[in-house]
Amino acid sequence: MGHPRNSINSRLRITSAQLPYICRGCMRRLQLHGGQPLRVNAQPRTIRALHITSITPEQIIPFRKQVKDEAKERKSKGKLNANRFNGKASDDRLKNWELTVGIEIHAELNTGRKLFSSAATSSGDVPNTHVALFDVAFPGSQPQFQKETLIPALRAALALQCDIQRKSSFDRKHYFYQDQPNGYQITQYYEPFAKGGRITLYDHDGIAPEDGKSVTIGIKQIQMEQDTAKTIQYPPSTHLLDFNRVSHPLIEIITLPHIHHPSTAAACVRKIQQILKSVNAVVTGMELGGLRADVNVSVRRKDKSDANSGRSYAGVTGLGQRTEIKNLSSFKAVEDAISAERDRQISVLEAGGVIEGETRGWSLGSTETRRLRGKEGEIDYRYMPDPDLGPVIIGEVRSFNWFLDFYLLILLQTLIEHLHKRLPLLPDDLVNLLTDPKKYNISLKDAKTLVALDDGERLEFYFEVCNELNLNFSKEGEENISVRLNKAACNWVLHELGGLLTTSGLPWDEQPIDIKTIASIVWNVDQKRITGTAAKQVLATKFEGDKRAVDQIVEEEDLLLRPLSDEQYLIMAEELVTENPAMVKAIKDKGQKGKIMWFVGQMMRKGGDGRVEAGRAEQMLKKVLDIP
Amino acid sequence: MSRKTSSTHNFSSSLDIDALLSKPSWSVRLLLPTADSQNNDVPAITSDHLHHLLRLSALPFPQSADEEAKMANTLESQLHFVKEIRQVNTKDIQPLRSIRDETVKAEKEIEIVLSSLQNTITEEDKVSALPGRERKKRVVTNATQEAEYWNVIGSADRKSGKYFIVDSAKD
Repeated sequence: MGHPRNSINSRLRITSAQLPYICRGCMRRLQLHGGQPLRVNAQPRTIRALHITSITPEQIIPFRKQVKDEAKERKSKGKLNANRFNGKASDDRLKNWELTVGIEIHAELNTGRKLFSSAATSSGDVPNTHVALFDVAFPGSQPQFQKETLIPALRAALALQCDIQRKSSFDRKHYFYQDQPNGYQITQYYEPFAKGGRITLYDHDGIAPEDGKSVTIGIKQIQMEQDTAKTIQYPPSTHLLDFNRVSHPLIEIITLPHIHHPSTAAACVRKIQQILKSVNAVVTGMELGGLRADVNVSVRRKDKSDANSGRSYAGVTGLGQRTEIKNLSSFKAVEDAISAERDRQISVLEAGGVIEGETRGWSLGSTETRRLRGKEGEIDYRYMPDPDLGPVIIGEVRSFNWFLDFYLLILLQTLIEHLHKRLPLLPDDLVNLLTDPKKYNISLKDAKTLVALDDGERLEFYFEVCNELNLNFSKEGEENISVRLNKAACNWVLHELGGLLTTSGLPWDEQPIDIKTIASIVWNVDQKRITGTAAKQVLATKFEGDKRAVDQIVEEEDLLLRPLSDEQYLIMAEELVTENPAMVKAIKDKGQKGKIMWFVGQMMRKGGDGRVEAGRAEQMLKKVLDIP
Repeated sequence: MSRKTSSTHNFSSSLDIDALLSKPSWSVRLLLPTADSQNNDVPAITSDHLHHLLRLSALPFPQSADEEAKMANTLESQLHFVKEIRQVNTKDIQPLRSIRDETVKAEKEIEIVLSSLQNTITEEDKVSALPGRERKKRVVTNATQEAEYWNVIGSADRKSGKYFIVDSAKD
């Protein structure tokens, strides 16, 4: 990725035209190598290598801070725009009205083959090369249920805590459209394979503040169904069709109308996507079109005085007429569309009108949903059980999974028990594990980031680093070292390595640092063999492609921390004391013991980066100042 | 209308088969509306209704009022027929979905259990330190090749490169 010269230079406020262009990566390295960081003032400058790396903060505004400030500015401007939806006026209106939202999510399953034919699933392959006869409704072709597609579906249902139904069946949903060769979609309308689940959202998942610390959304059912063909449109009326995607297995997750705020709805979709990805049921997310959401929106008066709110859905009563918004393709779209539709419905109802049960659409940048289908275009799907397909029966037979369980306890398991047992840890469980002070002791924010980054690969890498540290490096008999090392490792994997990746623009799968390197660096820093700054230098060197082992680099580059001797501490302490009689007076006469730390700070600066240990400095100073 | 048969019954002596079969005792016309029945129980088919149904089924609209009247009449007869059929008592009977062996034994045979999915589960690579985090490996088998190996686009009227073309302009 290129660094446009102007933006970099303008951000660092370098105005001198004769300054050579230096990319950010190199500038970072200059800082690490102890060179004087570039000053912001427009003066001719040279890079001087000093043996004291004291950075005067006033001279430099770190790039990161600038970016943060700009983002803050944009956000506050953005809030003014967002107030179009959530302005003061509508805040008052919202007092009287309650929003209810139900979500239907369609997610493409991670399977090798399609749902009703043995053609392979694909994405982005040459068009019309993975198509079986049934997929294009060739006359006389029959569907053949591929039972392997159940595996990711069951994992998804188990992750969302559903009850798996022993018997489920397929139904036809009839409608005519060019991307549906059969004239009907095969789905599970009457007997879905999973019912009655739930998902819990917490405040750190981004739910509305009105929802408190957590909210649990019920899931009505999960069903399997076919996907449609991909259409490329050439306006005005030409469509190119690629049938590779027809009959790709989808699951439709239908939530109960337990959601009452737009941001909670967006958080729900986000979290469901995260959960599905974490159990490998789904590999592409909303950004790539692998997950789509439709929402059902209705409003009702909070004081329940509304004569129109008599509808109920799946046990939730007193609801107003709902409209459906289809084809929302991003989390932000979900939130914005729901807000806009809520406001529209409130406006209509307050003006004395009536909400029609219609289907509406939303496009990015709109302020209101638009009607897609009116009453005359109403669709009647005429659901009917598909006679070509038999029921799906999930048996309770217990068997011994020979290959996998050989090394584990010999357990007789049903299919569901087996899948449940081997279900990967869900994001919430992972975050709980990581924030456990006895295990990894990572902050909540870091834990959530680690879990979410790079589709879980960053987290895997981190666990492997921790593994390496605890197996090969930790000393025997030292308590809590495991936790301490784990926490330190998180900082290195998440922030330091992350920083290098961002600067270089490399994606995660091209990153060159291996597990042993990070483990070694963490260990060296923990054991005080090198300072933090030196360690960053080592990491940067390895990142550039240095093939030497960490220990070798430390030795050859002479980065070993040489702790100062007691005498050196004494000399420094005495020097400082003589140079600052006013401070000494403050401490001794006025009893301002806190000022000792100022001396410690001065000692650390004087002694060179990281060579002075705060504890020992304090002790020595106390000795010199004659304070117990 | 039920006919009892007994294996020990001597047919030739007590039953005149030809006489029995000479006159029909039931006709499907019994289920259709007669000229004098008022069809009170069947709602009248309005023009809107008819057009809605034709649209749902992607069938062409009637071209004249005559044709429309004929269609509506046919539909009403059919609805009467359905109503008669629905007189049959089907209490506690599961609707038939297809002619399929629904015995307990047959159900056992089609059950999906751990061993049915064994191969796929074991083929998933274990790539991580986390327990049970398995990555799916796409497996291409002979069956896949067989299903895909035909000229998909060969019989298309209109195509462009590897795509089918559909024109949605209303003529």
